Amino acid sequence: MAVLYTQDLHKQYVLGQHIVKALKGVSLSVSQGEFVGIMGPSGSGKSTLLHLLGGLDQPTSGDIHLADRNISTLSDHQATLVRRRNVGFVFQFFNLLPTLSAEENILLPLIIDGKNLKNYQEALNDILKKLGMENRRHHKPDQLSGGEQQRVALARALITQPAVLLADEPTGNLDSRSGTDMMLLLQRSARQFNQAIIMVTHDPKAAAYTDRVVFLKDGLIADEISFSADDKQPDRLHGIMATQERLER
Amino acid sequence: MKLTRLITIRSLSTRRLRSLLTFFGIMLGVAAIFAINYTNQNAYHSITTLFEGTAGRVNLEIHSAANIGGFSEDILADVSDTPGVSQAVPVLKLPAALPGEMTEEVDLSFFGTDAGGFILHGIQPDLDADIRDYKISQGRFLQASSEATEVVLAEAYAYEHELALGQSFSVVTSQGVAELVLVGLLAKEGAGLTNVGKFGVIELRAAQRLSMREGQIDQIDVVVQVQDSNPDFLAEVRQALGTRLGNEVTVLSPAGQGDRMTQMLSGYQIGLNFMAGIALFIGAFLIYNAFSMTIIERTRELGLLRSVGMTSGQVSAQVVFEGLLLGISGALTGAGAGLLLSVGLTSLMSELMGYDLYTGSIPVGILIGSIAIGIVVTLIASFMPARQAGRISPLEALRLRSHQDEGWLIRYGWSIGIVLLLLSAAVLYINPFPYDVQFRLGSLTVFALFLGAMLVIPVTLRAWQRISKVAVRLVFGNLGTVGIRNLDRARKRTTLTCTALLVGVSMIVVTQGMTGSFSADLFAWMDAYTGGDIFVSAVVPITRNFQDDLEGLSSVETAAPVRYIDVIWLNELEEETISFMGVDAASYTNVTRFIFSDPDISSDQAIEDLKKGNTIFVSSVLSEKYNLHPGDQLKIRTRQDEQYFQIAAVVLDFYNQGMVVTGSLDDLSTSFEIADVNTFLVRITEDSDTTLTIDEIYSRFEDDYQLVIESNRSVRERADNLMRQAFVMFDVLGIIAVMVAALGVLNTLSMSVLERTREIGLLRAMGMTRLQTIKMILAEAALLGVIGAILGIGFGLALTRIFLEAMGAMSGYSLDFIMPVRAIWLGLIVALVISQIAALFPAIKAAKTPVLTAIHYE
Repeated sequence: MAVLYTQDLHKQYVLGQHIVKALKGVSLSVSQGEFVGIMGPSGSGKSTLLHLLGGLDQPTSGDIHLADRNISTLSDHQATLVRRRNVGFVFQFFNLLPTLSAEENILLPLIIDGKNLKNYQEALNDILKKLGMENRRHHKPDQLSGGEQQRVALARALITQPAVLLADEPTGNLDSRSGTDMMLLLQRSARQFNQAIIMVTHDPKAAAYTDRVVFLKDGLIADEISFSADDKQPDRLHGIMATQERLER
Repeated sequence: MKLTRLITIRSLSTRRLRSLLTFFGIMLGVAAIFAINYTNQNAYHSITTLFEGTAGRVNLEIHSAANIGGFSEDILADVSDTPGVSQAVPVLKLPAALPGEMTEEVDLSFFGTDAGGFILHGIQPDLDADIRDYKISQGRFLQASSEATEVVLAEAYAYEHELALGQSFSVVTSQGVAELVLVGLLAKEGAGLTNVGKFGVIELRAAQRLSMREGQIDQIDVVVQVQDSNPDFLAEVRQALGTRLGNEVTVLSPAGQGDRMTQMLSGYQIGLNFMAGIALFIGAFLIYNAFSMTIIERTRELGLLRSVGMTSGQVSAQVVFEGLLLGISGALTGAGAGLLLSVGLTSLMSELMGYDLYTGSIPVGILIGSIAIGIVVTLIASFMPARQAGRISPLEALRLRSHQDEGWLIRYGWSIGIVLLLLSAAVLYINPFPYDVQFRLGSLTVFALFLGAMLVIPVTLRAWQRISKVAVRLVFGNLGTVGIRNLDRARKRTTLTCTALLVGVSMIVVTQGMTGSFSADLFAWMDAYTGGDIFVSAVVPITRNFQDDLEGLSSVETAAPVRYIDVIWLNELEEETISFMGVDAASYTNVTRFIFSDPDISSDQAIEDLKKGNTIFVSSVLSEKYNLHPGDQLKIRTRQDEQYFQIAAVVLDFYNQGMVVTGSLDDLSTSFEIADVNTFLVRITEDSDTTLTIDEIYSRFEDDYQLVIESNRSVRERADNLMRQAFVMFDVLGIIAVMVAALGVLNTLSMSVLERTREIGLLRAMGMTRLQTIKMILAEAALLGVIGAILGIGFGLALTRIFLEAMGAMSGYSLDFIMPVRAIWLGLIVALVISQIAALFPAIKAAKTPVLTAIHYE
């Protein structure tokens, strides 16, 4: 069942005297439990797409349906509430508030939503356990490694059980080992929590952990590859790189 | 180099808010300093002009021994014959009033009450014109052969009472009504300023005749031969005159008279200066804060400049240049604003002193001084951030915002802070400074106290967060507790802001606390001083029998006669002029009461003692200043000789700044030969109406006496107003300090929000609404406000107590500390409201920033 789908999504910006067409008609559908990677060269429109999907920006035309609701024409306040309850974000940098402990950072979306935190202790412990962060829960961000910080960010995105989790280059700032760990966690989250995840990345290795990779070029979907659970990592990587090469030509 | 200047100017114009904040901080500080100094100068100038003008070239003055009443003009020949004397000029002083000259109100000022009227000097025109500067603006001066009825009046006084040149008019003196003809007007300078312009001259013989004091004079003005006024020579002549003239008269130096007035003002002015200093102190904070902020904001830009080859010196110079530009523009505008402020301040001072202050040309020295202070303070405040800017490495242009290192002072300064706090509190409490340097060193100690507080704040921030958590959650919700966590992110900035608020709030508390403690005593005294229901004041002293006339009215129950005179008290060290309040103890205690300092004293016994004569009550001020107690004796120069008066009690009395004793009218009459009185306190019968009684007194006695009658309630209200006005200026400066502190809060929170732009973007992405964003930042500001307020209140209370103690030891004003409950609330509310208002702008700005812009902000 599609938890998120878009129809003929257009987005254009006015930059000085120029009109930049970032998206020129993107239709995309993502199901519950599906882990989708979005790739493409700089300027292909992948970040723009992610921002539109997360309700951070509004399309020039076209529709976005998230959790059975059209979010393409919401007011700022409505969009804020949609983000709060239906979207989880993991960014490349500055994911955590330095003044709060790991645990408090994870609980932040619930604090924002005015929830009684006592009701979420079990969920919190569960997530911390699954992400292997039980012993680090009271640490401040500056006492955590980059990989640990990103895991806290992931936990924070998952705690509200959002309809979709959006990740913008989540491994971009990590060493390769932490990057691999992060991708495995995302993969597992999609399966264990039946969570829809959309990840924008430059890195073919990261994209190889997804179920499906969507390639954008000049604001349009240029290609798409799907993987089955049995596909091996090197095969996936090969497929992705071959497609990239083909599109670059 | 030109390019770097261009960058500086661009930087100022792109960071408009901060430039404006800094500019305002400098402007306010300079304006306060300029206005206060300019007004002070005006006040001093007015007083000295007044005394110099009226004293003319006079080197010595001869008065009757007790400084009361006159003496025989025969002495004049002896004076002239004394070696070294060049001229001896007689004066007879004649209090007078115009028949129509009746105001509804008694004049009130710092120097007491004044019922109106003017003073006529009987002079020898040719002699007097030699030693004093009589500038005639219209008509002519008196001539040696003038008609007895000719008078020359001060111009303003004549205009005020619509007297035209050549006009014949009546004047009332203690001896009745006389007709005079106005022949000339005196310009408002030189001798024309005598008795603050309520002044006129007539021929000596005419004056003697009018006052029925033939052959008598009140004063001889002496000019000595050597005009370079060599102090040794002057002392010799004074000595010679003293020996030759004997005990009947006393020889004084005219210069001493202005001193008393300036002394009275100096305490008030030092207080104002101190407040201006504090305003500047906070201003310096603000400037430092603003510059530090600019540096943080421009780190990447400056790093970039460094990477393309700008030296660290050039980078520092750029920041200092920015400081210079802001300093110059802020200081110049501040001087302009100060000029406006001084207009208000001068008119306020005029009101307090009871006469118009001279406003001279703009004093270049003060102008340049205050502008220089503004620029120098700005440069000093920008110097540290400039050094910090110079240390930015080229790499920082490439790095993302790095964690700022906290200085040694922030981490370990608390130990120095505690030492400073303890030391300065001890110094202030013990108060070891000699009188003349007290205020300067005292101010320095207060600065040390604030500095100590500032150094201790950083280590207490965590504790504040913990304590306030529950309250913050209640008011601002859970996100509020997230907001207050930001305070220890940049502890230096938080500390500076809290200190600015602390100083502002403590100033409010000190001002209000001092006013409160003052007013409690002052009002108690004022209540007794203007006891009864009606205050009847005679323009020209009248006979004591008027008491019977007043008591003859059916609506009057009792009338108590009072007479104030100046007497000379011969204490061990010097001759001191103090006021002597003569009362009729029986009727006085019927109308009002004495406020005895010692509650256990037998008041009946003390009053009985006073009735017996040769007994006085001394004011608490005299008692504490000179260590005088009941049973001690005071040697006072009387009409005939010197006389000892026994102290029966110490009473609360602030008349003449507390330099006052109370004695009986009988003593006044026997020892000082003064039988008339000038004030009656009247108590009306229970069923009578005050207004009707006032009307009745007017209608019955209007023709016979020059009276000013006012209900005591109205006198008290006006005295109350006058006192509040005196403190208004302190309030104004307190408000300036708080305003500067508010600018500091605005500055700090703008910076805090700017630094956290991405973080706020992240929170917004996670679903935080705009309102929640605003509340989070307001919570942060509220805690800043609370820390500033609570510390400010604590310090304010401590300082008030210390100041009161020190003042008691210094001037004899021993006042009880009264907890200024209102000021505590006021301080708390002002700090909270100001911090919330100041935070609103950055909070709204943060909430309005589009999420995407915020996330991508670097």
